[in-house]
Amino acid sequence: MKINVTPKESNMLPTYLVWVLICSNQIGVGILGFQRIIAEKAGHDAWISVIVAGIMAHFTMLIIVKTLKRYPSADLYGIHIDVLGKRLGKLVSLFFILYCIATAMMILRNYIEVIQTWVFPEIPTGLFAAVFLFLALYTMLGGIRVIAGYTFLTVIVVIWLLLDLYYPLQIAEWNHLLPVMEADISKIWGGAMSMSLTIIGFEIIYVLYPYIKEKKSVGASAQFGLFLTNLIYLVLMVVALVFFSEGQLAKTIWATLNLKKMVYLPFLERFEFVAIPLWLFVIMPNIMLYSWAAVRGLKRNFNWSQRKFSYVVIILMFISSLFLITRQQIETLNDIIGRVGLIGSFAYPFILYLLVVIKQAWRRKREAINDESAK
Amino acid sequence: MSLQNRSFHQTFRWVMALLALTTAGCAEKQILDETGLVTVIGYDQTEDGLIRGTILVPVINPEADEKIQVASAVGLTSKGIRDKVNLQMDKRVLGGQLRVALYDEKLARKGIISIVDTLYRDPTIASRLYLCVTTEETSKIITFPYKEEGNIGMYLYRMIDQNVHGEKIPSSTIHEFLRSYFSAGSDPFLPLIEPKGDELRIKGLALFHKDKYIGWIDTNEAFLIKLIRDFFEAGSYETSLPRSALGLPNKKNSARRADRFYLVFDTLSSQSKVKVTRKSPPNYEVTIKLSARIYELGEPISLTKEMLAKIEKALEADLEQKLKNMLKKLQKLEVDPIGFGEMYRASTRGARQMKHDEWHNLYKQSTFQWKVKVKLVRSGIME
Repeated sequence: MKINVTPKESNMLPTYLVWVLICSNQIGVGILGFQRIIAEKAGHDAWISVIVAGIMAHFTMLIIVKTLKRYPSADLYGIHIDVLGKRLGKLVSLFFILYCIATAMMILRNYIEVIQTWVFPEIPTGLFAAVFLFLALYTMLGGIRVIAGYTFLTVIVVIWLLLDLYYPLQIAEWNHLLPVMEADISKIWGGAMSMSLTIIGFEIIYVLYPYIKEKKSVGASAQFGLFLTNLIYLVLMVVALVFFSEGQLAKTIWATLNLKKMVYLPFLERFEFVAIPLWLFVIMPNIMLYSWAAVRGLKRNFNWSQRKFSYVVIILMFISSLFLITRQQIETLNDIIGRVGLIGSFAYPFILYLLVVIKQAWRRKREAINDESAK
Repeated sequence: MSLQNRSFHQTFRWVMALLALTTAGCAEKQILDETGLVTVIGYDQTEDGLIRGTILVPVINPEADEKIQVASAVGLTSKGIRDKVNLQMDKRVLGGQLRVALYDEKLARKGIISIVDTLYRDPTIASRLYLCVTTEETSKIITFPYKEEGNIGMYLYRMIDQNVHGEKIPSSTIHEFLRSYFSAGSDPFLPLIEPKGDELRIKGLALFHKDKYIGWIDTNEAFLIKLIRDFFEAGSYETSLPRSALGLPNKKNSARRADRFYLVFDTLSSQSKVKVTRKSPPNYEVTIKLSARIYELGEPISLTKEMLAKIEKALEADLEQKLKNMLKKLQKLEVDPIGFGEMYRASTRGARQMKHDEWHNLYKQSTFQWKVKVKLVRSGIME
């Protein structure tokens, strides 16, 4: 297996799409209800936790891009092989692939849960899963360019949904935010940790990197995508804090959807029933990109056709989604992925960067010795 | 081989696309003609401790004389009541258009959180649902044949909505009720509705301690609550000032008191600032800046500069006195609809964990300083 991947020029993505892909892969179902979990830890200072988590993400992204820039055009799977050797590299890559599949499944199942709770309580999970996964499969077979194009489209379709925050803000109680910094550092840190499930998604750059045309400006574009996500999270957190009282927020599972319940237009009385189906546009890129990343990994490591692996991954996700039935099971999966994501997306890039630096220094030294002995 | 492969994939795609289309038929159909959309629901306390629920459904049937259909049932839980109500209806009862929920005074005194919570928990019910307390049994109010209003649900909704937007009473949607309920430093309030002849009217504001109805204040006092709580633009207020303060001689009049001068003013904008100046027991300094125009004068007087200044002074004293009296009343009833507890929490570090009864202990001891600044900017088109 080659360490570096050089896709055809026609299969590559323009760099400005990087921020779109990062941003929409981060925003998924977590955004619908993260406020409660953060406020449980940090109280009305939860917005500070959001900023802290955001800064951490920016810093991690810096390290990720630094790691990738040490290779001409490698992805995570190639780096693993280079740094850890064939066997161990494949094993670690397999973990990442499983993580991608599990995350895609978590997003899918959570969204189906939202539909089942809010709109169609009778329709079985399997039916939704089949339809959504088919859509995902369809774009995956088209390749990354189709996925990226679709993602770009979804951003345009849903970005205006942010404007509806005007309605809940009409009855905002800004007092709720005071006094600032009442929670101590450990609580704010705890809140920031709980952001992990919501904020993960930027690690997709590890797999996307070889496909980007202008490798020089990847960092800036990715950071901009991150910044946009963080800004949206911050706004939603603040609005939720002033709109709900603390005890009420602690009981609200999907705070963002409850904010949408306040929207009232003369021709459209119940806006949330428009927003929930529209949310499919937000979560589809997540499912597509994560499953695509998993399929890429399988293809790179196990040398089978990407098409066949796509079928395998989709069917695997479909079957496993059927086993999650109750809210508790979903919460457990969210919890596990939140923890794994915390390690995988925030801690692991630093370790990997260290390994890459050591490996390359060691190699240079050995080459120097080899050169010397050759003389 | 590749050709065969392609045709397989094409078939596969078509089959999946067809499947996706046909699944649209799997959702439960809700045909308008077969559903009864509840616009108002009322809850009463029956004598044996159960709850009676009454619903009103508008009927779209040209042959029927009545434009509405009413059903009621007795049960222990609101959803249980709905199931029983369904047995009396020819259409499936749905709550998506529910605008107003009424609670009988007797029931409200016992606490209504569980019936409010079930409405909030139901995703089909809007967050903008208005809750009200009624002085009479809600079943009587809903079943009463109102000649002019027809659909009493929409009528009630518009009546409350109009008065909330007209800045007469503070807004009291289900969301705001629960927000206050779940916050330790404030108590909910709802409009109090009473039947009056063939009509309904807003009698005042029903005040709650947690979820229990304690007492009520009239709409003039409700205006004062709004004055402290919210920024707002319009809203007229009738009051009377001592004639001596304006330098007017007493005047005999059968309906009015001889020593008072009557006028109505209209607030153009108001701003309130609450400062917590002492922590235990709390002391509040409330400054209200009000710019108003004179709407109506009880008798013709010439509004000179000096007279306007006198009216301003007298109005300030009058409002301060009224605010003082109202707050004494609220403290006595142990209700905090204004949310002074929230303000206390917001200005005190470490008060985050304050419990509701802890706050009420402090509330009883709280003292208030009032400063009202009135500015009369206009007096209509006449001088």
